[in-house]
Amino acid sequence: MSTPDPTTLFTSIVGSAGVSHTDAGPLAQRHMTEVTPASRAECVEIVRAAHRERIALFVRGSGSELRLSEYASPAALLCTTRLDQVIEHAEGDLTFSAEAGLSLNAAQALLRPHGQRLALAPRAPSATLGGIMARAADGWTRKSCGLVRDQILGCEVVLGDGRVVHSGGRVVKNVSGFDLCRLFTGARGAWGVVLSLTLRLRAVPQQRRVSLHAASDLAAAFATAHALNASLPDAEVVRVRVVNAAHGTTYAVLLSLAGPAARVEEAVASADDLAGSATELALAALHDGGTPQCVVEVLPADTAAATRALLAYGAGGVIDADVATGTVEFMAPRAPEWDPTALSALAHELRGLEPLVSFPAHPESLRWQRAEFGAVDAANAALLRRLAQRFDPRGIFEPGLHSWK
Amino acid sequence: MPSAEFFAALRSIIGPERCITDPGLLLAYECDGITHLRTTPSAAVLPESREEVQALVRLCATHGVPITGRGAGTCLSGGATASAGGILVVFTRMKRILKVDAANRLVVVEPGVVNARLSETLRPLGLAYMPDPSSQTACTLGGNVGENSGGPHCIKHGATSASVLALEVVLPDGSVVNCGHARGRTAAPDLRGLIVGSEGTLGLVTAITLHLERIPRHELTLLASYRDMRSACEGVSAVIAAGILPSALEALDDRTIAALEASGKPSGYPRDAAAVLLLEFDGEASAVRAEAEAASALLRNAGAITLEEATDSEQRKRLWKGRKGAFGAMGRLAPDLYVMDTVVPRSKLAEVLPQIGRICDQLGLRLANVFHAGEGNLHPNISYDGRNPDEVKRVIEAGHQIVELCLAAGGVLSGEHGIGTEKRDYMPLMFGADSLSAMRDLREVFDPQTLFNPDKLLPTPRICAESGFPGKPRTRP
Repeated sequence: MSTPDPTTLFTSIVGSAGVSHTDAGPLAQRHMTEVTPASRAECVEIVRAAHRERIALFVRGSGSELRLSEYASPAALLCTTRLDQVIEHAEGDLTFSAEAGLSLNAAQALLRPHGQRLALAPRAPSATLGGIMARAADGWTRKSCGLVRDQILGCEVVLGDGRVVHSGGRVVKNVSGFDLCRLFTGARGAWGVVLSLTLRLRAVPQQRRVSLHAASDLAAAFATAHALNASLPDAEVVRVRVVNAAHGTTYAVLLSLAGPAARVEEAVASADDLAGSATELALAALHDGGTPQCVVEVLPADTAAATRALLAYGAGGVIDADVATGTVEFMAPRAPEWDPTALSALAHELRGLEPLVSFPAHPESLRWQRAEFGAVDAANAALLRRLAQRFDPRGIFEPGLHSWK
Repeated sequence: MPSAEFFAALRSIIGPERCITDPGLLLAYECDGITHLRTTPSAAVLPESREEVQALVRLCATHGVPITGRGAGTCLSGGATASAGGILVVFTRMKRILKVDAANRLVVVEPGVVNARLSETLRPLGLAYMPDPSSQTACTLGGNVGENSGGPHCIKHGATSASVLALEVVLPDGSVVNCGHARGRTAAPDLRGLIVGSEGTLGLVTAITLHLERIPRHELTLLASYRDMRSACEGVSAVIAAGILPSALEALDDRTIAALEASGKPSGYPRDAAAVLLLEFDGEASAVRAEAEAASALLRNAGAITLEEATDSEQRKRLWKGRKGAFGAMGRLAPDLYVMDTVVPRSKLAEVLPQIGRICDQLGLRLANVFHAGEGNLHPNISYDGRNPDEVKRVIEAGHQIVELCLAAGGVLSGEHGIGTEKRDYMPLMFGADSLSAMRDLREVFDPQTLFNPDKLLPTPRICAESGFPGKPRTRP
């Protein structure tokens, strides 16, 4: 029996208005049916049909971190952006439930008038909530508020076999059954599509100051950053920023302080005392430099070593090294050649640090080329594969995008 | 009952002195903190290494013997009791702190380390492990991982899962998997987060890497008293809605206070209040002061009749000792105490608590409330006499009605005690068929023979049939 054409199949579910093709724009190289459900029920029907007819699905939220593999057809792009309804904003409970396609920008705009916010800060603020969950897209809120996985209180996911599962709830504490929310956070759509989620809210800080403090060299910058991190435990962000430009290299400490006004004023005085005069910056400065070419995550005490490794490798551009979380991001105007020799050199420089290395601007498979970059080990991979056989028995979700699958 | 051959093999792995099979000695292991749920294990074994745990697991797999992990046995959902014919693996002798890494604020421990002992060890370094269950002087970190335990200070710093960076786990086939990483993030989906709170159904944890916080520089403790619990709950809701994040926000009612003050070690709670709130703020002095002042105004507005700041560390310690000793003090009121655990949205506290009171009144039961108000995590405590079958029946009926009430209010089955056997048969009240079947699939992936804590957490079709579910949960003597 031949597989039905995805366009025809999905048109029967969402109508012709919900189906298009990807032969324009950045996806022009891959001709695929793009289906955009208007409701969670439609999304579930699409997944069930894809399961039935063995059509591969790649899931797209805002497209900020979309990955496609070289998987042969039939395949379709499932776009969640019309799943953008707010389900509940429990203002007094500080919880927010919404469909997965709602963008973070839109959610924050809804919450801001209430003095509330989501403690999420991915590099692309247009990212959808479901995409942030699927990719565990942690950002600069990590130090003060925790990881993405700690923000998610509940979720609704349609699995690859069409089952719709719920986990967690709309309360802030919960140990009822297996914690599938955590399992699905960072799973990158391996087993299913996030339909909706409930997140914890925080109050918008009364005051914030983002500042840059110049340093004479790398060692001085790290010494200052560590001193600030120790003396200001409630600082939001403490990073070393290295800028490699044609006219030379500059070093600085990037600091964000937020909280009650009295506390921020006090902390600002201490910080300026310790780190020297400050240049005030906009919050957006935390994301200067565009999409990182490479992100290295290590233990916090190894942040300086990871930074030196990137410098020794010869990386130009901007390096942001967060001394509290051990995350070192390398941004460059031009993509470096990540050929096997370059990857080998980088692995050599990072030896002994047990790093997790990723290349956000490149295909996922790039990181798989070196086991030293934090590859999924055999024992974990075996469990994950067995889970995939249960949750997505026909392997329709994102084939070729998971090293372990 | 397992075969003689099995017991011989068990002794050869663990040595006879660490393999308890004497029926008299096994009485100490027949229940956990929920005393009306009892099963006598075939044996209780006390391994001292991961290798011994692996050998035990392989032996049980070969003989088809159920296996249940246990720490100090303080679990409050029946999760740390053996399954029929099964053995208990008691981790209290695996109690080494393997590594303290102050620079990266992390520690690696064996599962039998007692929660409070870790905090004591870390104090000279200026570091703290934040989750602090009321049983922290006895409960083990392995048990905390199994149940995703909470505690009064989890409102700000999160429950156990937020502090667990990595786990070494012995799977039901005896192999070992390392989940998570000390750096916090991995390339793989989060099996670490799945195993935390899985109640020993997916694996036995043999090493735990934990994130530590710095001991806060300043702490400020407030005590607010109220003429009624409803006003106290409205105070809680006002503080939360204002976005204020205390490090603890606890509530105690008059019956709890009376039990505490009668316990011979008065804690300083006002005897004439119908309810009190115990709040704590931690951090930098100016931030702590600003938050406490903002909260105080809201608490007064909600009807606080007194509002007192602990003036010294002794007073603060006394108040907290009272809070953490509340369950023990209530133990003086009757031979048995049923500590329930449910969660409701914080805005529903004032609505739900009086209804819980009515349920217990109608069933003629003695109720006291002490709970994590800032998280909506209720602990209705019912004092009863387990020798009275009719009273036990009414206690279980009250539990059922309270669960239904909290779920109807938008809550969940458990906030920190887990499902165990206590709430296993309530799972279909919260989860649909697809969710339960996915959880069963997940369990089978890890444990195809279903030998790890087999009758806990998930209802089976057989159990549902026996209990006549939906309806009343199965009762046990």
